Amino acid sequence: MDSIVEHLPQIFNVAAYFIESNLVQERSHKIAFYYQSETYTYAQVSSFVRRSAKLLANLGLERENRIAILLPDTPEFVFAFWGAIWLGAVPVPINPAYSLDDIQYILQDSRAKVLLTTQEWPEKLAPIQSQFLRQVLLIDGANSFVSLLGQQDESLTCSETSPDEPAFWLYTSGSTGHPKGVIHLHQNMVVCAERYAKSTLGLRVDDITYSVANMSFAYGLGNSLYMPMAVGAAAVLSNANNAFEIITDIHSYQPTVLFGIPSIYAGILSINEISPLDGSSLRLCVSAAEQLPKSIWQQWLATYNHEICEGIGTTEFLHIFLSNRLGECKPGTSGRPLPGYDIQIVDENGLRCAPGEIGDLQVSGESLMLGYWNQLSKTRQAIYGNTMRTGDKYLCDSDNYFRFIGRTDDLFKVNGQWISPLEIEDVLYQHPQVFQVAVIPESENGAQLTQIVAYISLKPGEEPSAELEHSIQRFAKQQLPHFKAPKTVHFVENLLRTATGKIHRNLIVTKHNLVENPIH
Amino acid sequence: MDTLNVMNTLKKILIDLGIPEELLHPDALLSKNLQLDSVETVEIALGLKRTLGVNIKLEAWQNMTLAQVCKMIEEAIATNTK
Repeated sequence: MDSIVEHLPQIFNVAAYFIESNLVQERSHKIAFYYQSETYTYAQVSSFVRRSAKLLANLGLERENRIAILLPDTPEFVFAFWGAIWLGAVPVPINPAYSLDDIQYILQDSRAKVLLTTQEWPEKLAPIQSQFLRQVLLIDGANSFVSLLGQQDESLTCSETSPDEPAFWLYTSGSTGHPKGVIHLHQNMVVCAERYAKSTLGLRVDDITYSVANMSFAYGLGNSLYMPMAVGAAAVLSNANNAFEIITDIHSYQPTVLFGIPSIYAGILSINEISPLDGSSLRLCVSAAEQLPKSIWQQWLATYNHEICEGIGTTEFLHIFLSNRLGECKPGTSGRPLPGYDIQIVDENGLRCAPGEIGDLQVSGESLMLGYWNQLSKTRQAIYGNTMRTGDKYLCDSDNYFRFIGRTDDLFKVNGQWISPLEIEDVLYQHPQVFQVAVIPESENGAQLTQIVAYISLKPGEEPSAELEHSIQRFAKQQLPHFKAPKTVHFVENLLRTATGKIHRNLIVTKHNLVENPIH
Repeated sequence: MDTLNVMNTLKKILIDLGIPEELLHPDALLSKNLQLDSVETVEIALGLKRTLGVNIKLEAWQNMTLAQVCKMIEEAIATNTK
């Protein structure tokens, strides 16, 4: 298999690579980013990035130091991210929707020396527990980041980093316990830009991308930050929060490529009578982050005359490695392997499964992370060479299309975000009338978006009722982000336990019949 | 439909979504006080369509109060009945 990485020079700075390639010919004056009513050309982005690097250097940020970026999608995110890499430092985007605990944890774990954020955060986080943090920069208020950039020059030459060096980190919550810092190298964004943006999507210089996922996610980082830059296209930086706002944005900015997630496609379809989408600017609709039910794919085609090209990627591999392509979509599948990625379905011994046999998804490719920061045993368990099993169960059909079956662990996704049933069960156990809980994701085998169902047995003397069901749901919404609260509660007589006393999540005994979880 | 009825209809939709009734006063902010997420705003709009036949586009909703949503609904009802 041909390698992208082998062709990179020994001295290589990925910020310089993406920025400078767009300063040639006519692209200098081309729009790189749209933000609210402003636009930024490639020449302006280059200037802001160089000045960001100078500012950060003047503030004492050195090579390999981390800078945490706790921002929604804004131009300052772009400038600071590339500016840090230009300097040889390591940006660490943090999702502003994470819990306060997780954000405190990431600041401490990453040992970030600088934090770039908005005015509301220092107060929310106070006291900031990380002893490594030296400086907090704000994008709003007096002494804003951009006003400080105005005082910098563009004299700093880019750091002579190498393709094998860490360039940035992303934190993933795809497991129980604390988020893990995923270390990506200078070479990795190039691999994804070449394999997905160019070779799979055919992203073009006249494209305008619009991503529903923000840049603190690996999916959004590619969609808005480096993939459009790889071909001189433009990206919309938006913080549209619901289907209504996304529709307004699409009408305003007229993007050609929509990077969505299944719950957003479902949301837009559901409000078609209230606020119909005019999708005429779009030439391509992409979905990732969660399984896309076939019914949504079909409804989208029927309503808007567009195929949704579904794919799957992981934070560890930085972006999509399996994808459907325009004109060759098989709804209900994740598509076929991208060029440059070797994808196998293997059994528990690591041996290849026969076509149609369910096994573990194993991916090999050049965009794989270096490892998890400061988590040696998790890194060693996860990767072998440039290969990793993703924790998904798949089967491959006779046309080489890969179909998601379930997970090897108990995690599942709602709204494109990882959820552990344990977190929800812990909360429900605190309800005064609840005795035992099992939280199960249900999707009718992928036919519907995953919904959270709680199976609950009550304490002696308590009787099930609709009122009690509502009480339990309200209780859950008070303790958890609302998307993690169970949609439905089933009352059962008892929950089967294994020999060690753990709830046997696979077999739930209901009043009427035995329900077997099809995933395991 | 008068303001009280509109507010009661809106409250019922929110109660059905699992939002505690004691939080539902006119000045309650949808995001900060009620902790609503983006999916729930779509469900509210669909509920209003179902029960009152109005098209409410819930944009810029995070800093809206229940009273402001009620006003939007009343204006939509008035437009419908013209």
